Amino acid sequence: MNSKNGSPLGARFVATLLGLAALYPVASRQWAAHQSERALARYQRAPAGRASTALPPALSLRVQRLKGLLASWETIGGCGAGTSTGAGGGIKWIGRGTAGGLFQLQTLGTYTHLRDGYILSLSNQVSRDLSEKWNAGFSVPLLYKYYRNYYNLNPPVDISNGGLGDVSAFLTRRFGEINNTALTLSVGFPTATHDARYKNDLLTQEKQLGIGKVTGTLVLDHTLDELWGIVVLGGSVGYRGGQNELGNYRAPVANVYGYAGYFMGPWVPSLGLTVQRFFGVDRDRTLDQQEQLTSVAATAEIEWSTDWLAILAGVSLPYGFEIGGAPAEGTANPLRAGFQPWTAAVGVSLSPF
Amino acid sequence: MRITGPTPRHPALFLCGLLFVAAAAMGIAPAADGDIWWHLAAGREMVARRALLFSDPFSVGAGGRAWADVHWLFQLGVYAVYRYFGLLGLVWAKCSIVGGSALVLLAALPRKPRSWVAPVFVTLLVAGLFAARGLLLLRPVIVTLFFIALYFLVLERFRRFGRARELWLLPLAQVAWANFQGLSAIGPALVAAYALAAGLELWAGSSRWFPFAHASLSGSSPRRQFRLQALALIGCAFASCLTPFGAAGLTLPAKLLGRLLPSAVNVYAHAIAENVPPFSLEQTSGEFWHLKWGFALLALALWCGGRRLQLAHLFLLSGFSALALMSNRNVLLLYWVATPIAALYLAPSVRVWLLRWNRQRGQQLAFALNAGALFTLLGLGVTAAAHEPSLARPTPFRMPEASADFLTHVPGGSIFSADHQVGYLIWRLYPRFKPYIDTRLVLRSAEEFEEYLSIAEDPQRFAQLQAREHFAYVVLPVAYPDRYLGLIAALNASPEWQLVFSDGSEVLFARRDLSFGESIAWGDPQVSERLLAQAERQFRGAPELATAARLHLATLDVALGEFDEADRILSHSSQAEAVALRARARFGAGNVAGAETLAQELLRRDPRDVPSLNLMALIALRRVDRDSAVGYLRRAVGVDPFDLETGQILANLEANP
Repeated sequence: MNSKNGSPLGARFVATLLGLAALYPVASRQWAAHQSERALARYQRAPAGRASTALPPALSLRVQRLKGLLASWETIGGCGAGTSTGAGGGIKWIGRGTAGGLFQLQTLGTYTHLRDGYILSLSNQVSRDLSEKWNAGFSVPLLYKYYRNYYNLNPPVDISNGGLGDVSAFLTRRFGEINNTALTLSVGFPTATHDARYKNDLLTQEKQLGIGKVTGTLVLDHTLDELWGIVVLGGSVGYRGGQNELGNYRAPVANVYGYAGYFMGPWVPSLGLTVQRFFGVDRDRTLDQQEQLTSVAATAEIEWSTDWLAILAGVSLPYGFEIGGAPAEGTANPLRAGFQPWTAAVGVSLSPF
Repeated sequence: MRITGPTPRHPALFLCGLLFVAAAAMGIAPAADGDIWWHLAAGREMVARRALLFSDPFSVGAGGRAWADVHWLFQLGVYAVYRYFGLLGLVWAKCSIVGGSALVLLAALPRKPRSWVAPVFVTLLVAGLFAARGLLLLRPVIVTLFFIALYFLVLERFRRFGRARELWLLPLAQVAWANFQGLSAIGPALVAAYALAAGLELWAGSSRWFPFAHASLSGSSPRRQFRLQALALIGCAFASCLTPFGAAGLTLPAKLLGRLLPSAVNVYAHAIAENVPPFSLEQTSGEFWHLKWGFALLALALWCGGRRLQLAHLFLLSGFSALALMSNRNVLLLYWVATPIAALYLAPSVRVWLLRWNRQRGQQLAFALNAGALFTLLGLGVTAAAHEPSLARPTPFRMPEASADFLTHVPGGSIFSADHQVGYLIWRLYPRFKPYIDTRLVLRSAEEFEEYLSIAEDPQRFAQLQAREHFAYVVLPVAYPDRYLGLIAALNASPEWQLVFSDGSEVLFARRDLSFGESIAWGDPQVSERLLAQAERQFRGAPELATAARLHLATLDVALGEFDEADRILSHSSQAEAVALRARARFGAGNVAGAETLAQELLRRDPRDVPSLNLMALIALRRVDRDSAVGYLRRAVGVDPFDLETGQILANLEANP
């Protein structure tokens, strides 16, 4: 490309025009809503007469676009209220989500900020309704853990551990007249490495990508679909694999949570609170690790969705207390109650065809 | 322990293969468009006569009128493919042309080491084709995609290398294009965009205020560029005249363009589905939701382009954007042209940002994101293709296949039918049967088309047309589109017509004096059960299609006043569409409480279900409860201010408060 001439004004002007064209649908929607509202107000002010209830047959019988039928361009659609399958630490998908397509694809990327590094995770979840009451799927997580100055050496040595996490499969049974209660059993398979080393030195268990054992989680969700928004209440218990052949141990965990989201057109901002309790401390090669056994996490999210595409962004900040375990040898600052690493997440959910 | 992407030995070849497969996959769908059938019939007729067609042989509405059939090369080509390979062969030929043409577009982009332009283009184009795959129909526009790509390649190469001899390809290609499709006028327009840009640069390019980059990268002067491109333009304009149809063929593109101009008095612009502006369709049906994002991406690309922007590219984007905003059929052309241009400006800027952020990880992140997006799109395209019904048959419910089967065994005559289905009837039944009006609207005046449309709006007007044309048969669809339900009800009630055949998704009426015996006992449970069993057999292995057939049958029942029968055949389904239709059947039967029960059930499932909110408003109005009606309508408007039914109810209320 040649750049030896001209100012960027021409390009910027046309870009602005195109940007305005892109905004037209949003503006026209607002305008149509305003016009309809005015028409309703006029009708309310008008003296009562005999209302016409005659319907043109073609209009009144077009009940809804069919889902999953015919040529593919006719089949995108279907909006289920209150799907809430979550992935990522502290972040649970709250909003309209997407549903009704051939399958549901949900990708949630999270960033957890540690004092001495960070954890990136990309969880890809594919699920499909087997019937009105049953849903099944699997989740494939990719993890990347990065720690600065791992050995407190000079010069410092940073380490990273990345790769496939534990792949899991899940099955959901919905209950209730409108399927607003869901029980999900998820089983994780030991596909992640649990014995990664740096120069023949095993990384500590929390820096491993998995525990090398089968894990399991049972989640119960109840969704209250209100006109103004959505409320999700629930809880889960998780078996994190117990002890492996290296003497690493991950303790069982349980949590209860409540989230409330408010409908603002295609946007659903939500706030949530999660209380989490570990039943025991984790161990690294048989040695107890010091941990905050109980935590309360506040979560703020916002979802934007169409019938078949939903995008979510959120942050979660946990506060931990009830210290368990012994500080590591030579640790100058034993753990106290306080804020735990925060997590930010961005997710995309697709429900095509 | 690191996540790394694949590193093929021949990345360019790998990218080409990926682009071909992905672009071709987006076209995998059965024939949903009605035009292909009259194209096939025209090809067959030309082969039979060993002559071109200069007048309409197929219809009674325009029979004998002059027809500038500029698609004749396309028609001969598709007929040849169909004859030996059937519909399946046509679909695969279409996919191959789309994939091959995408490679031509790729070849138009500069090939520099470590450039991100090509990979970004591949992802953008596949995304655009995926979004607009509903427009990748078996039509001459597929050939037009190839010609646009070829012109873009030649013009971009001339801009980069300045080799005049390559421009001679354009007039030669134009001769072929002009005999494939009326859109061939795009060819000279593309050349004109580059020539005009060179002319303006020649005039003002040395000024400090000229806000565009120099066109030539080969050192060729603006004067030489302008002169050679102007010569190519003249050559293309001359080549456009080389059709068997003379002035009529030459003026056809202008005539077609005039029909796209949106206006309340232009019936072709607002009454033909593919000519409706895409933003209007997004409002009412959700289609073309992607166009605003396309424009946003283009805006970002041009913003990034800054002083690198080429004036010729600006002309192309402006022209194709205007065409796309006018008519949804042109959105495909916009994406086709805009994606390589967007990649040219976007990719270098993204590269600079990411490498500035982190040299190593930026590259890895870009690779991962691009590859992830591309493979996701490919996966979606392949999944969509796998979900399609058989490619060897027309898309279910779109063509009157069963009625055509029935008509092959009865005496011939003229047929009134939905215009988009007439091509299929021509293909199956010509010359024994001749239909009234098809989608070759260049053969009809605006008044004739308006008269035809008015019959669907006001079925009583059909009697006037019948008095003039003396149709023997009427073939109409139930669901795609559903605008003919009123006419179906009127014909069913008419003593002059009898319903002689229906499978629930299409209906065939015959003039009563043709003596077909007894009409179908519509509303008889035995008839319904027979048709449902037939649909189950026909769509074995495709339960969604069987369900759709059941909904069509129930819809027809409601349209014909058989409310209880509709209620009965839907009673076993808890699917939202079935419950919604049952609610309307009950409302039609006067069972307001029953309709309310079902509508409330749907609203419990989804409080934002607009059809149910509309029905509740109508129920409230029936009970003269204005406040409740307004409340339901307000909720409906809050969810979807463009819903047609809500708008109709509001209009009724304003007219009759």
